[in-house]
Amino acid sequence: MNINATLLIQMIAFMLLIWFVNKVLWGPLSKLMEDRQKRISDGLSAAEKGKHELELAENKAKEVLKEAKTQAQNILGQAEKRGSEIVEDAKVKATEEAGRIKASAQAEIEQEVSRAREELRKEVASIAVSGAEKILGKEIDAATHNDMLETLVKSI
Amino acid sequence: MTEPNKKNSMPKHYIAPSPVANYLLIGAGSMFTAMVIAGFIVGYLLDYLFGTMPIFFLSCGVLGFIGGMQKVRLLTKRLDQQATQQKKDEQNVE
Amino acid sequence: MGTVEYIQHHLTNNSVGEGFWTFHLDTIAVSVLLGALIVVTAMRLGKQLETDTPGGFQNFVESILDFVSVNVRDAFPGHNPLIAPLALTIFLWVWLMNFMDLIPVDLFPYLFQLVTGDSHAYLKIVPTTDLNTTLAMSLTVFVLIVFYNFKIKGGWGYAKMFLFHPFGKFLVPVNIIMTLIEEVSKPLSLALRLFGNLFAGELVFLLIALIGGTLAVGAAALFWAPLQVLLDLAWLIFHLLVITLQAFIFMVLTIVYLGMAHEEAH
Repeated sequence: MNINATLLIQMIAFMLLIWFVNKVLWGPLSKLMEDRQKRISDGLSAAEKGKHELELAENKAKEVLKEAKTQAQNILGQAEKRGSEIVEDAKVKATEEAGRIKASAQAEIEQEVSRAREELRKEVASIAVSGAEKILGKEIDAATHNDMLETLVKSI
Repeated sequence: MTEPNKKNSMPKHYIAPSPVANYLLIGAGSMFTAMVIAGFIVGYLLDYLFGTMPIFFLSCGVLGFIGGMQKVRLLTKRLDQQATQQKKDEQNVE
Repeated sequence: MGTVEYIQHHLTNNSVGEGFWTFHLDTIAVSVLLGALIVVTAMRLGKQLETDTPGGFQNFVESILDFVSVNVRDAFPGHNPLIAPLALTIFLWVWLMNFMDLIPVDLFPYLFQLVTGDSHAYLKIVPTTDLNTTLAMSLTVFVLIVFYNFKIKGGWGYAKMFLFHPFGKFLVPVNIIMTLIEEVSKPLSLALRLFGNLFAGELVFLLIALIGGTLAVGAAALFWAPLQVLLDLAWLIFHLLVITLQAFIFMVLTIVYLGMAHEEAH
């Protein structure tokens, strides 16, 4: 057992060494390791965030796609409806037109018939007058017998 | 229920929380030696102060011996407690 | 040279001075050199630190740092930025000083004797087989323990620990002496454990070296020399474990003692 002044020197050396180790080894290295840990955790959280965002974007894309599909469906439906409407319209118009044409033709025919009848009536009257002239041998005063003639014409 | 609590609180004054005490077990052997030697050293210093050689020297040596025994006993008792606790836990699990 | 002289010669420090003011030159030189080795290596490493792709050596040092900080976290309650570097210093320095024990016992003394030209020059190159070194470290730790006891518990809290512990309030004088002994025993057990283990290890190395040295004369050397090599190798491997373990224990117990100083009084 020989404890002596070496003890003091060693104590000083030990304290100095603690200071040095703290300064050059523990300080920088532990800081570095902490930084690295932080960066790793940051990276992990960023990756997690990116994944989340990707998921969100995918969801959104899906939604947009779905919306577009329904819109397209709508448009298609509308177009179909519109087409059938147009067809229906055309049909209605065509029948109307046909009706009109038919009506006008009928009117014309009727007109023609009435005209023909008028003509015929006139002719019959004149034939009747001339026949009567011939039968009576004398001229019939048209004016005197007008009433009679009128009734005759009407009866035909 | 009160009795084991009492027992637990006794050594708590002495020994730090569990993981620390486990490390102290490493030095249980040399702790005893060191306590005896420390007793002699403290006694020698006291004698030096009061000029009462060798009263404190011897009595502190004895105190160191007793303290060392007590320390080792407490440390090993903890170990026993842990072992019995473990056994109890195992039985409870079963 | 006789056996006893051989061992005594190897276990004597090269010293200067008289009485208390004796300086063990070899102890101081070797320990300071090893400390300088740590610092220089750390500085060289510090210049090429890489965050992303640590090289082999940096990885190794980082794993030591990790090991130390894990131990500090386990055994130390609370937070103190001094503890971890202190523990790291102790572990590295003690391990390196212990490692000097594994160098063949006669190599450095022989070289030293050649260099100085004095065939009786003393040289003991394992600083931890010198009680001064181990005691210096443990006393520094002791100073820190007392300092933090005062700082955390306060003067009255620390005094209360002396007065009423371990035997309650009826045996105050005995308590004071007992706590005093207990506190003194902390650094003492640290120092003595390290010193004792390393001293014994060195002694065994010397005894093994003696097998080949003095016992082997003539044809007997054929038997003794291989035995010495075998024994030396076995003890070397075992001792490698011992020096690491001792460095670790010194470190952990330092952390534990300082942790106890940081605890609030109950």
